[in-house]
Amino acid sequence: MKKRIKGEKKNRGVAVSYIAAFSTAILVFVLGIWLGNYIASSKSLELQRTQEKLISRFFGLELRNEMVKYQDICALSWGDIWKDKVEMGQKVINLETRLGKENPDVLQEKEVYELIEIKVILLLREIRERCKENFTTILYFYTNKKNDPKGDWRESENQGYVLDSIGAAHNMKGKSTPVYIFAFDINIENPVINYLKNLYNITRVPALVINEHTYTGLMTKNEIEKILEK
Amino acid sequence: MFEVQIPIWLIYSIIFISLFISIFYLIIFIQTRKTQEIVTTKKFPYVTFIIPAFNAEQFIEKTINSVFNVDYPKNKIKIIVVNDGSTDNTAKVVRELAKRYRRINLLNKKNEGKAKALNYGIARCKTEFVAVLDADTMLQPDLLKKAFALFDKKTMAVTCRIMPINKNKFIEKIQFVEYTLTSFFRKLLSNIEALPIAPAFTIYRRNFFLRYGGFDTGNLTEDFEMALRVYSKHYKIRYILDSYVSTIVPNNFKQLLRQRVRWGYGTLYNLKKYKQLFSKSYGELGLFALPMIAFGIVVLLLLFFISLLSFSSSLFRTIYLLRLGWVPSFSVNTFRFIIFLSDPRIILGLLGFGLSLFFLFLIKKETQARINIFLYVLYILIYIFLLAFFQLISLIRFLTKKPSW
Repeated sequence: MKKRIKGEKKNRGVAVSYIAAFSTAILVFVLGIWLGNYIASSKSLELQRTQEKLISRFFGLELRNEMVKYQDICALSWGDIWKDKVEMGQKVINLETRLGKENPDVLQEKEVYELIEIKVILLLREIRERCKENFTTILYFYTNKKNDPKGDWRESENQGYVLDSIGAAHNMKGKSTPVYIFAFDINIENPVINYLKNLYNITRVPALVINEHTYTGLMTKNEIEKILEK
Repeated sequence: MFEVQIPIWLIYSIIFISLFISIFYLIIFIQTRKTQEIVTTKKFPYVTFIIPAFNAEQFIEKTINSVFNVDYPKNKIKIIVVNDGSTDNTAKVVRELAKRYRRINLLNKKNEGKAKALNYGIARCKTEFVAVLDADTMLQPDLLKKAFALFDKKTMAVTCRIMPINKNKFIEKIQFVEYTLTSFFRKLLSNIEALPIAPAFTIYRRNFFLRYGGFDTGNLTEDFEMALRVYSKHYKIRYILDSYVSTIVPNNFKQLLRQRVRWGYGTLYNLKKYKQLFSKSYGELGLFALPMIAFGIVVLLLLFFISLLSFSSSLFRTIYLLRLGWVPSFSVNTFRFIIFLSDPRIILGLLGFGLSLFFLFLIKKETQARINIFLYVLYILIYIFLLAFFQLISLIRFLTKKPSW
C-alpha cells in the first residue's frame, strides 16, 4: 500500500504552528484595538475642531454686535449656528457611546458643548426679544450615571428619545412653532451650568424647563405636547 | 425593563480565541498544502461493507449500486446488509439485488438500533477491513482507491467528505454550505492527526474491533465514540477531501432538530466519557481539536443566551419607548458610522469576517464546491443561531439525562 503521508503535519512542526498562531493572534488583536482607538481619538479631534469653529463663530458674532451695536441681529442667519450645535451634540453622543460616559475627554468636550449651548440659548433669547420671533426652548437635564441619587439614568435616556421625536416633529419646514432643545448633564460641574441648575431649581432628573417652567420626572410625548400647545 | 451587560473581557476572550483558532487553521493549511498529493492505492485488500438498514427501501438500492460501481476489484468487495427490523420492503429490495450481485449477504434481526446492527454485521465479517456505510449514503467511484492509500501502521480508520444529495430546499442548501465548510476543516484536523469524527462512511481495520470491541450500543453517536476510542488507543483517523459520499440530509426543521440534538447530546456525552483525552499525551486532539469543540459549544450557548437577552431587551425597550411617544427615525452620518467602526470589537469582527471569506475562497478551491456567497452570509447570520438553539436543547437533554433518538 503506497504511503502518502508527506502532507501530514508532524509534531515538531505543530508546536511551531501554535507559537506562530498565538503570536499572530496577539499581533492582530493588539493592532485591532490600536486602530480602533486611533480612529476614535482622531474623531475626538474632529469634535474639538467643530467646537473651536463654533467658539470662533460666537466670538466673531460678539465682536460684530459690539461694532454695529445690535443693529442687525434680526437679519442674522443663525441657522448655520444651530446646525453646527446639533452636529456637535450628535458627535458628543457618538463619542460618549464609543469611549464611555465616564471618559475624561468626553466629559471635557461635553462641558464645552454645554457652554456653547448656553451661548445659543442667550442668542435665541435676544432674537426672541428683539425680533419678535416665535419659538419654544426646552432645557433638558439628565444623568448618565448609574445609581445616581439625582435620578434614574434609564429614564433620562428615555426622555431623550421622546424629546428627539418632538424636536423632529416640530422643526420640519412649514410645521408648527419651532422647538429648540438643549440637553444638560446634571453632573457636569461648571459655574455657569450650576447657575442654570439653581436658576430652574433642578435637583432631580430627568427634568425639563419649557418656557421657563420646570417639570420634573419622565414625561410622555403627549404630556409635553400639551404644555407646548399652551 | 432590563439591560444586557456582557462583560467586556468575555467578548475579547472569545474574539481572541476565535482569532487564534482561525490563524492556526490557516497555518496548518499553508504548511500541509505544498506536500499534499492525491495518491491512489495499488494494493487492493478485501473489504466488507456493513450497511445497517432500517426502513431504507427508498435508498438501499442506490447505496448498494454505488458500492459495486466503485473503481475497485469487485471480487474484493463484499456487502453485509443488516436489516434492523425494517417494517417496509428493505429486505425484499436487498434480496432482489442479491440475485444480481452475488456478494451481498442479507442478515435480518429485530430492531435494536444502529450500533447493535453494526456489531451484528461486524461479528460475521472475515475481511481485514470493514467499511461502515449508512443505508442512505452513496460512494464516489474513486473513493476506495483513495481511502486504502491512506492506511498506514497507525491509521485505524479512514473517513471522507460527506455531501448532501438533496439541495433543493433552503434548509438543504444551507446544510450543503455547512457540510462543505466542515469537510475542509476536518481535513486540516486530519493533517495534524486530530480528526475526532468518523461519520456516514468510514473504513476500519477489523482488528480494532476484535481488540477493543464493537460500537457502543448505548451511545447516541456511536461513530463519534468509536473515533474517540481510536485516539484513546493512540491510533489515528485519516480523511479524504478530494472524494466523497453523498447522503440524504434532513429536509425540514423537525428532522434537523432531531438529528442535531442527537449529535449534540452524543458530543457532550462522549466528551465526558473520554475527558482523559483532553491531554497533551493525545497530541493535537487533546491540545487543539477537543478543546476547540468544547469552546465551540460554550460559544454557541453564549451566543444563544446573549442574542435572546439582547433581542428581548431591545423589544421591551422599543415597546416602552413607543408607548412614551417616541417615533423611530433613522439617520446615518459619516461621523457616527466611523465611530461605530472604530470599536475594536467591530474592527476585529470585520477582520474575522474577512478571514472567513478567505477560508471560503480556499474551501471552494479545494473542494470544487459551488457555494453561493449569499447562502454563506445567511449561514453565518442565521443558521448559526439555529445551531446555537440546537446546542441548547442538547445541553438541556444532557443535563436532564433524557437521551432521545
